[in-house]
Amino acid sequence: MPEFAGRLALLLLPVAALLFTGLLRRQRLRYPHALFLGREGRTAGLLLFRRLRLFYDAAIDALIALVIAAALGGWPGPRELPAAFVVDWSRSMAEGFPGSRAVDLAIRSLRADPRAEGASWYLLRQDPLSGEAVVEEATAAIAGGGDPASLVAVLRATRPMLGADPSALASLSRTARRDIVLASDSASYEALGFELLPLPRSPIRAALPARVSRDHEAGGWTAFFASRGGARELVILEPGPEGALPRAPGPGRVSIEEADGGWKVRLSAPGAYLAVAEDAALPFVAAEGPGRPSGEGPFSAAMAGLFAFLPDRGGKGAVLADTPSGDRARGAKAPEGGAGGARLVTSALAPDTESAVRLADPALMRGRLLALGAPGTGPTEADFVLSPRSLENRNLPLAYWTALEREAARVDGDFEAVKISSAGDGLFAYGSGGQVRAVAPPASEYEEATPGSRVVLPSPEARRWIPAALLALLALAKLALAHAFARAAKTSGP
Amino acid sequence: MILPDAACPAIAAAFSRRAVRAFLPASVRAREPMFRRSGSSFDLKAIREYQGSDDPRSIDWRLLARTDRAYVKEFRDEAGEGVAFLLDSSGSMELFDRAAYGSLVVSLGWLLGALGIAVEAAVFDEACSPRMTRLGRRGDARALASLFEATEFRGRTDIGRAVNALRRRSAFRRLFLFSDFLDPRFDPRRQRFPDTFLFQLRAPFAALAPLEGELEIEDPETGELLRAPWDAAEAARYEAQEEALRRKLSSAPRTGHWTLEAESEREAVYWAALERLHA
Repeated sequence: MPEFAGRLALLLLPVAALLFTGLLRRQRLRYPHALFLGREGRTAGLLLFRRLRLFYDAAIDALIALVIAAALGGWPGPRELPAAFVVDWSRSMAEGFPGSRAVDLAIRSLRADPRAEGASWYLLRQDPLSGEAVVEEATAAIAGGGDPASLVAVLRATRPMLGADPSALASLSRTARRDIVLASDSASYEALGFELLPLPRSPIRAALPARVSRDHEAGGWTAFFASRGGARELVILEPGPEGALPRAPGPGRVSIEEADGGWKVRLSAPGAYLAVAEDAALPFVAAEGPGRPSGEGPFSAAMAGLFAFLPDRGGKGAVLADTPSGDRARGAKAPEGGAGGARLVTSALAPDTESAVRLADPALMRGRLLALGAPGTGPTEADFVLSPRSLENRNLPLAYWTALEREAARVDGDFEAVKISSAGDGLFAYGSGGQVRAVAPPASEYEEATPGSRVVLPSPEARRWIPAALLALLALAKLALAHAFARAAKTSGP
Repeated sequence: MILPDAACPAIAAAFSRRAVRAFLPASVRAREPMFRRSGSSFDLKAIREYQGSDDPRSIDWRLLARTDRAYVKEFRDEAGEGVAFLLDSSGSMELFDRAAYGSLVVSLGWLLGALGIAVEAAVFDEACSPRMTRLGRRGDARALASLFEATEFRGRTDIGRAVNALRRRSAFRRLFLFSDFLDPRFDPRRQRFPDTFLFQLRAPFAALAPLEGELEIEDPETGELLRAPWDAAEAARYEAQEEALRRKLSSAPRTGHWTLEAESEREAVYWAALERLHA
């Protein structure tokens, strides 16, 4: 309130100055009142109107100052909407026996909250295909009552419990929800702008896929799994036909051996698999990996020769190409023959940099260093701008290998899902070209929450349109009064 | 000493040549049938037989010669043919230029005197008891000037009461009324004199007021204060009120009305007033 008063006083200062200046200029005259009294005595309303005509400008300015001061002070506040109850719809919430899981406890606790009357219910979940966190309203499903365990079973059939990012609650806080209550078992962070209802978190014994890659030396594929929650057993299954349960792979197709902190699994064939530990079943995919590339141009043909050991994937292999100087090369990513291969363009004509060393992306070189050509001297759209120093680097093929893997993963993963199949804690998404992608809960769902972080939601948005509309009305009133008085001056003349 | 306007002698001379009748003495006019007009004070009142108490000079000798009987003609009192001046001396008249006011009154008085019309003047104030002054003959307006110079403008206006009071005390049937007429109670349609000449002395308010702003207006008669916003619209509205007052004064029956400001040309007013007086 003192802030508002101070702000209003500051804004009224120029208005008052103008008003007092006008009053100071008031002139005193001697003249008979005969012709004034005839109009002064008519009605109080008319007198008020005549007073207003002299002071309306200052009066409206004062009102404008009042509205601005109030708006700067946050007036009018957000609408008082009912509370929003949000249930953490992540994998860790579903750990345990039905009825005693964190998600069941969340629903029961929130229903017992005094603010539950008229409250809206939401699920904070992760979209399985886009991976984005979403806040989905589920008032009709949850607020109506019913056993939480049954309710969760119904909802989980269509909404897989993957991860939950509390920052997505910003969409609720912006829509003027003041009381936002999130019931979560990941309450290890400081919540600002919403209320956190902490729930107990149960440990999950799981085997998390760490890395799945093709073993070119031994043949087949190798997958590493990390043990979480004290998991001691791992079983690899294959998803069954549509609607069927997963099944064990045929003999000799899978071998599992213990490794540091987990397991090393050898797979003889690529495809979709399910890693089943005591409490969790996580889908993963052993991708075919990059196919044998082809080369265009002397340098790229030589580089492609280094990867001749890769299997021929029927035209899906990438194309390595030299770029003549001056050509626009990246156009490049167009599939070869429509089979989905990528095109990696190399410019080997750039000189070494003199003023500073330009290095290739360390992720591309897996931590090793590779000097590149000076930027701007070669075709700017080339994937690799090499210099004589680059060509001397023995690790140069590593950059191409990483790029080939990336392109293969991108081509395999870049599809529009035509079918989704539930698989343990996650699901498999199938593309029209036969590609398959595994969607699993984030690894954090199987680990203890890391304390110390903070989630801040934006403040509810004030209803700025109200002061804006008031200001517009006052401005219109000024114009209308000025117009009316000017017209009165014209029509009331002799 | 307030003197008549310089143009007055010329106006009087011109008007005398144009209207010989007006130049004749009232006694002559009263006895000459050619000057007798219906409805005027020159009308014959009655013819009756001579009685012993009558003045022998009033016997109609022609009738005596024809009828051998003495008859006496009675005329109405010629004293009613003069003009009564009624001067507003209320506080509001201070707004009008005093010299112009005085010149107007003295000039009209001098003109009437020069034309042989008797004038008596009265100044009315808050008490509504006019102080009467009769002018000398033939253009001697000194008494009128002295009366005006001795007048102080103060008090409130009640024109109606002053006119009524004057009508009771004056035998004249014509009234020259000088005022600003800023008296809401005054109704020009209720005239006590058969012929009234209204000289409205106007001091425009717009000339005193600023273009716009807040005004504190003190009534010079009552001393009351009125706060009023003033701008172009108010000025226009006030002028409309003044125009309404002018129409009200002009439309009154048996009344002539002239509006004068301090800088107005007065000769035309003199001439118009004399024309109306003689009509």
